[in-house]
Amino acid sequence: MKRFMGRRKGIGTVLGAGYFMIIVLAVFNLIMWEITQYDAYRQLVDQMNQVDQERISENLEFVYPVITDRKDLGSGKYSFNLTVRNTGGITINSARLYFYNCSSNALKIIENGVAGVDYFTNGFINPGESNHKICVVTTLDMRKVPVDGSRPFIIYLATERGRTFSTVYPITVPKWGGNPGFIDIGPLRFKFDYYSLNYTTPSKTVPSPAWIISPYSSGTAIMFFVTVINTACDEDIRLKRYCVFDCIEMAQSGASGKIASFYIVDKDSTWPGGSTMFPYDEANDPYILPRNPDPDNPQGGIPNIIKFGAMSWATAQVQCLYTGGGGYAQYEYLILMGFYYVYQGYDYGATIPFVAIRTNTPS
Amino acid sequence: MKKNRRTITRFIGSRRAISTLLANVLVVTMVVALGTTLFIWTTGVMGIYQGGAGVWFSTRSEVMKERLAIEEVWFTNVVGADHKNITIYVRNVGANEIKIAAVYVNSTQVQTTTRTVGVGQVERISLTLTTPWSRGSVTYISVATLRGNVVKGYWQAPI
Repeated sequence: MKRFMGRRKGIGTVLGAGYFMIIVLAVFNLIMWEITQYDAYRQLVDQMNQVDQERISENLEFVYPVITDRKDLGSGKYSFNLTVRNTGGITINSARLYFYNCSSNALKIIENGVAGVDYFTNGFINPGESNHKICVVTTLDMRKVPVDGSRPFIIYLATERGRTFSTVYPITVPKWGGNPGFIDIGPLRFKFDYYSLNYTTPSKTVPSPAWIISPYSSGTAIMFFVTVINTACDEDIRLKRYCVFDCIEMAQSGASGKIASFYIVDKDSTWPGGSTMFPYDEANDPYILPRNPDPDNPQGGIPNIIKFGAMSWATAQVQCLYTGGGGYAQYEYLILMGFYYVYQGYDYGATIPFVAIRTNTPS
Repeated sequence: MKKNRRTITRFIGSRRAISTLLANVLVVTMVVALGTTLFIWTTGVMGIYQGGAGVWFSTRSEVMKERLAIEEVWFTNVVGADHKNITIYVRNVGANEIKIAAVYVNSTQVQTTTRTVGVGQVERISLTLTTPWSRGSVTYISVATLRGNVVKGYWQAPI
């Protein structure tokens, strides 16, 4: 120490080295702090990725006929079981049920719980469970669906992780194999199930399935609703004003030679009437069928309801089926649709061999 | 005392080593000055960096913890009304409380007031549009949180 103090050289070096060490230690400290912070952040990212992975692992299907064991509990309360199948790889905890009534546009929310008015129990569904029954107690009387021929319920099941699964009740998609219920022509897909073809008249303003139109008297204006999906992923489709729904009248002896053509009308039309049916404005307010937003799902696409009801194109003149005579005669109509559209800037036209409908025919 | 006085006298009287001593003093002073400056500068830079990085990590962590799900969209006022109402149900499925800053319908901001949704809670948001939705139309709805997360999707109005 004495020698060190006595030396005249090296004091600057020692001081410099001291400063250097301090700065190196400070930088090291900073690096360590950053590593710690980054590690904590990575842990959080991994944790949230795990949450996301668990969410997308959830998969649930509603088992036909969806609702079973319907009971009247009295005091305006009803119970039923919702049958589901967990096809995912993780336990699902049901958080909420939404019952949307397509006829009245009413929404009933049913919470997970054990008592009260609208609640459900048994919401935990283990992976692989194929006939899991969620017990629902509510004021909705599902026994009456759809006795009045009205449109169905859409049931949404929201999970605790934020997924939503839905089904239509009652399920009316045909249970046959092969074609799952649609006609594909070009990029257009025409749905083919009980609720995909509907009609309205001035006395029946809520859309109803149009397979058998009853009662229908001669001279009654009618409007048809057809469900169409654009399956193309690259371009939207714009419908032209010449789109037509042709009803070819048939009799037992063969074709009567009469055709009632219903041209496309505005999307805000609801039923054939002076202030409820509007001409199709192709230039300013056309039907745009949005492209399929999910290229990985060729069965996807957004359903669009196209309405037909005008006697001639781009007008709102009501049109009727030719039933001839008076009363409520039984007739048969073969439906061909002419679909004219613009896709990728080019005009296309397609004849769609669609459906056969009847009037005033007992089921 | 006498000894000290003699040493000082000898030091003043000596003609050698004054420059060496001054050089040493100068070097030490410069090292101290530069070292202190460098230390202050380094501390400042590191402080600023640490502060910025801390904010970044903290903000990103908060954003990362947010998870939002739109459970249901209900187009109300269907029968005999103006078709200008939409009700959406939003669930917080993340690990942080969420503040909903805005809701956009077809890229138009409809709701501006901030709403808080607790973890695991569902918030009902009623929107009033300036132009009515049309039947069967596909509506693009996005919900933005105050931290910048956006949840979006397409919903179809009833026919």
